[in-house]
Amino acid sequence: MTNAIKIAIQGVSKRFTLSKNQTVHALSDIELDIRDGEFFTLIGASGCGKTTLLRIIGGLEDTSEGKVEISTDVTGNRLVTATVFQENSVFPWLDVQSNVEYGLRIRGVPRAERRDIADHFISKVGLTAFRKAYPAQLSGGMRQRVSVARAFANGPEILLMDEPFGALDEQTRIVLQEEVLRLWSEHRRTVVFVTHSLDEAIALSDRVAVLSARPGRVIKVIPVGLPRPRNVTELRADPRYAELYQTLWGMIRSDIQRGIEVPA
Amino acid sequence: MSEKADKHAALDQRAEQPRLGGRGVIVRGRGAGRKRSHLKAQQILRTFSPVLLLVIWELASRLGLIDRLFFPPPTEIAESGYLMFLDGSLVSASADSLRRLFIGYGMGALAGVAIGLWLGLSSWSRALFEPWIQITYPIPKLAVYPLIVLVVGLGDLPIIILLAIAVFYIVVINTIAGVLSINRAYLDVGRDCNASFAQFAGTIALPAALPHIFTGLEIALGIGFIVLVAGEFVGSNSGLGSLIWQSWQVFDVGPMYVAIVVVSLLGYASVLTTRLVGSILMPWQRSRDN
Repeated sequence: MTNAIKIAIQGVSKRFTLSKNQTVHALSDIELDIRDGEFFTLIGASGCGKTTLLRIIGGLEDTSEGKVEISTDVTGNRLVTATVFQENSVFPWLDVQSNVEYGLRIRGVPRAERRDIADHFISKVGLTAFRKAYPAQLSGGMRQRVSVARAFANGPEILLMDEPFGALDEQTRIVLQEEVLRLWSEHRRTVVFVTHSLDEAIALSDRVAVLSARPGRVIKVIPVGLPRPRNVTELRADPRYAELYQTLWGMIRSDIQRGIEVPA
Repeated sequence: MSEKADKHAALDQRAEQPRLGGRGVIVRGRGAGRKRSHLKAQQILRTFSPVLLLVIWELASRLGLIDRLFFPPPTEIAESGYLMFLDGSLVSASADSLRRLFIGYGMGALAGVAIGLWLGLSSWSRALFEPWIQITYPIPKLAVYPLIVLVVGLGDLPIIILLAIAVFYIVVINTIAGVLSINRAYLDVGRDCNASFAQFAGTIALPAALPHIFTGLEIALGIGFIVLVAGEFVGSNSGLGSLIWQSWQVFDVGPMYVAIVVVSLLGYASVLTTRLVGSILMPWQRSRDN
């Protein structure tokens, strides 16, 4: 990891108009610098706008105020960012192979080359035997692996992951977290990861930004500082892990309680 | 059904009583065998029910219960069909009709899918053009036949155009609905990969809307046969529609029935063909059923 800033989020606010006289203030004046090669996580109570912030970074959404600057060396039609979406973003009409190749096909990468790239990442996520299977024939965890492989195959400078494992069972989640860590350590791309799981945030990240409940503001950015390479399960026995967990939980607990007591 | 099973089970209760503590015993989960044999019987009934209808018709006609002049017995119709097949008139009428259907339906379906994808993806063009479609859709398509004849003259062309128009509406409306119902996450993936408009249409909107499109294509086939036959009634000296019309005029109901039967068989065959094409184009839908 270098210290160069990869993503500079500058005064970003976002409001959604629900109806004529009802607006939701999702994000308020977010200032964040994400470093090159860093594994950076956004956490916060549900509805705090972390997914919205990720979509803004990914170019899928505009800000109401402020902007996001991304430093890039990308040339040609290569992608700066690629996103792993929450769930069920895998195309049901393509088999695993074609799903993983999708971004490459859009960019006009020749067939043989994209086959090689896809094969590589399909084997990395352990789906080689299912290359010709359709998503409907796969479990939820396998589909999410396809989604991870697709994003990595796109070869972006920055990977954006939007609660990619939120809908999965615990065992599958741990396996996929370790896969993502392994892929990340091989490729050292900048990762921005959104999750509501404190465990996940601590296990994966270099730094964690804690967002407040709506409107989302940055409460604090916390460096994790646990040594790498990490083992997602063994990590939980580390006393520093428990300490971090308490710190993070302390910051978002009041938000979550408020959210429960005053239903929107 | 379950009450019946319970009653049935109540007979067993005496034998079972010593082992089980309660005052009575009911047995569950033993009805499956009977249900399966019902299903089989119903399947056989379903297969032979059309034959039964023909037999009733035959008898009614021969016994004079219905007027033989209007409702000749099926065997007579079959004979007349056989003769028409031998002299080639049936084949040539069918070929003429199918050719018109194929061209008109094909043009309407292609235009419907292409324009439907475009309008489905572009909210601006939808704002401009969708009202045009909605306003003109309720016009009975047959009503514009004279206008088409005025513009392009008599012959095959006005029938083909009429067919294309009728098919277009059904397909375009279904395609738009299909594109609008696409899971937003799929569109996000397209944007995430910087897909162009044409790539959106070809790689996301088209495959995602295919189930809707094929529903439209199937409905359009039914409409297509109606328009085809009606068009041939008035606008053609050849084809199955014309055969029906001419037989009626000379009060020769045999060929009329033959043509009606052939139209319905062709319609059925084309629906099956459409479904076959659909299942070839949508292999992921097949795997879902397994």
